[in-house]
Amino acid sequence: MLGGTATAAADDASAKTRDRELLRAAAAGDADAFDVLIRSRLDRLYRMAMAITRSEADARDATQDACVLAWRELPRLRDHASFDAWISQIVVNAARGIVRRIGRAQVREVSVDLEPTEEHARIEPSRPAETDAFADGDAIRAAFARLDGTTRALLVLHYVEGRPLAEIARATGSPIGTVKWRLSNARRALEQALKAERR
Amino acid sequence: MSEMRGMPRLTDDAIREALTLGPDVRAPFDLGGAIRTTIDATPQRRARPWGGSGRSTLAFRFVVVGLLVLALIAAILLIGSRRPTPTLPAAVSAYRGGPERTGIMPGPGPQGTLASCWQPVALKGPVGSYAPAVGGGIVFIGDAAGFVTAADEATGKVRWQQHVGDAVNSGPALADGLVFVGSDDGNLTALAVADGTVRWHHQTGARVRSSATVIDGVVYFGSDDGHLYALDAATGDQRWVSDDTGGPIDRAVAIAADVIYAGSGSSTDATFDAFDRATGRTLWAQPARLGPGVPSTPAVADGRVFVASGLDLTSAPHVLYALDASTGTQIWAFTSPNGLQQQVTVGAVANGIVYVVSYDKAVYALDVATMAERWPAPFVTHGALGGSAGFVDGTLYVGSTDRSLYAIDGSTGVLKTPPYPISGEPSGPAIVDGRLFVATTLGQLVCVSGSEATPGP
Repeated sequence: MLGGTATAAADDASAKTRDRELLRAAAAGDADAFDVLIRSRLDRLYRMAMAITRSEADARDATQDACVLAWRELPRLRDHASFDAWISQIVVNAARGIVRRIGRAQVREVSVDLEPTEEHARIEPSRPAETDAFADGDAIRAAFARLDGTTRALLVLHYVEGRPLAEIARATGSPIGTVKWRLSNARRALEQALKAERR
Repeated sequence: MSEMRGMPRLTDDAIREALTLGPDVRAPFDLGGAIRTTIDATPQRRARPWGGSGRSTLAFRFVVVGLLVLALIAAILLIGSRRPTPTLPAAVSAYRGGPERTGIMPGPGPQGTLASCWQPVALKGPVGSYAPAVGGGIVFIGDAAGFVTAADEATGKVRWQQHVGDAVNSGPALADGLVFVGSDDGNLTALAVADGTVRWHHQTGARVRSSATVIDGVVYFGSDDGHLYALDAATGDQRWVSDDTGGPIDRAVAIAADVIYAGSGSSTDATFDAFDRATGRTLWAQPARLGPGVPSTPAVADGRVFVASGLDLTSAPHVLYALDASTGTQIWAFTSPNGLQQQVTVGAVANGIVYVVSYDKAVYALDVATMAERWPAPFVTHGALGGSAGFVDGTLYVGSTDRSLYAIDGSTGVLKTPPYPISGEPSGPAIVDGRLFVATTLGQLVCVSGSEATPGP
């Protein structure tokens, strides 16, 4: 067991050393080095874009745009150790931008007039208990698709990526208190969208 | 979230499980190749020469900073010796008409049946619930793609479109030949009205969605970082910054009699405070807390300040408060007769009446002093009302999410002309020279005039 751990640690250190060299070369204009760096991260970056956009075509566009932007700006990245966080943030921004550009989301608020009316409440069929688990996931995903790009990104970073609040604050350039506030709003927005989805 | 009948339970685990992608989701097989093809054709930007480390770089920095200081001094001397930039008269200088945010417009309004005055202008992105500004024969609006568009007031011809950064979710303000816009990247940007040239940026700690306003050469606005800012309009230099209000200032501030009124959002208890315009010092803090959500843009008239609570939260109690402008003491409070969950906010305040717009689709006309309803019945549209209104010549103009624009008699609550259909949900209006301007969630700038003759600007 100990041997296995030592081997894993050695592999990790070796990968970090390799990445440092690749980054140095890529920042100096070596496209082959950048290609290697990106291909080892492509699935992760694409999944992050996909989690926000919920569209294969949009996730593809966001990932590609982000990688090209990262290539262009890499010589200006001073702290190579932060490369993964940096490129993740570029992907998140690209995905947010695409959601915003295609106008699927409302600009400021999730929806208006979301409260179900008494009439809606009366005609809402009750769902069998055995379908609840599936209904939850589908309804949440449908509600998520109603949200704006920034709100989606916050929810993905926090709930899917498990990023600490401090890291989200650094990435977004906001105080932790503001991030907490936005997350609280994002969750409420999801609740509102969920209600609207159920109407 | 408490469990509701017919509602899936929204727990952290449920969100995580629903949003986490399955293990089979992977990048398309050809994506890596497509990226490689693109980067082969994309040159890299050169690193900044001071990006490295060491003594030579430090010396280089000193040289660069020294040269910049010399250039700055020369620029200041040059600017000081030139005649001041000609200023354009600002007809609608800021969101909801001006610093008091009453919604009263210079007018005149459209005469006769509402009709289009020119083909809608295509913006670069959608526009939310703020409003255009108009000055010197030009209409200005920012959009969610981060562009500011300037269009000729008479013809709709685009004068310029300038990218300012991240999404613009605030209304522009005009003064001294400059247009000021806040954006989601935390900047307030000043652009030349003539050609859109960026004159300066001022970075705050979080997004700026609080529409700015300018008085006596100072631009005032709030930031989601919780602070109020006062900047020199000509240079962007900071005059003062307020203490942290404890939550984002997400809506415009109102200013009257050298007092700034600003609401600060909270997930538990929002606050509403008054600040000294000269120093940014807090004059009073609203003693009654406003509950969760974001306070609305306030409006100041007749010695009262009107502010609504609970914006951006459907479940929050939505209350419109009338407060004594000098002390913050509550005078009355209004809620929709259709329930506390129906958002209410100020549309306009004019002639002793506060016009309240609500998500319950109605406009209420309340006596400023007593809260008594001044119309025989509320005016009801077919969609929720969440933005600002415009008041001119006794007429209230309101855009609804039913995608119509309504002209209502401000004294009686009676519709004056047939509703005018808008493609997309309209923003708040700006009304001047017989024309009404709104932008839409579909990214268009729309001009509405009347069937009768339109006076020239």
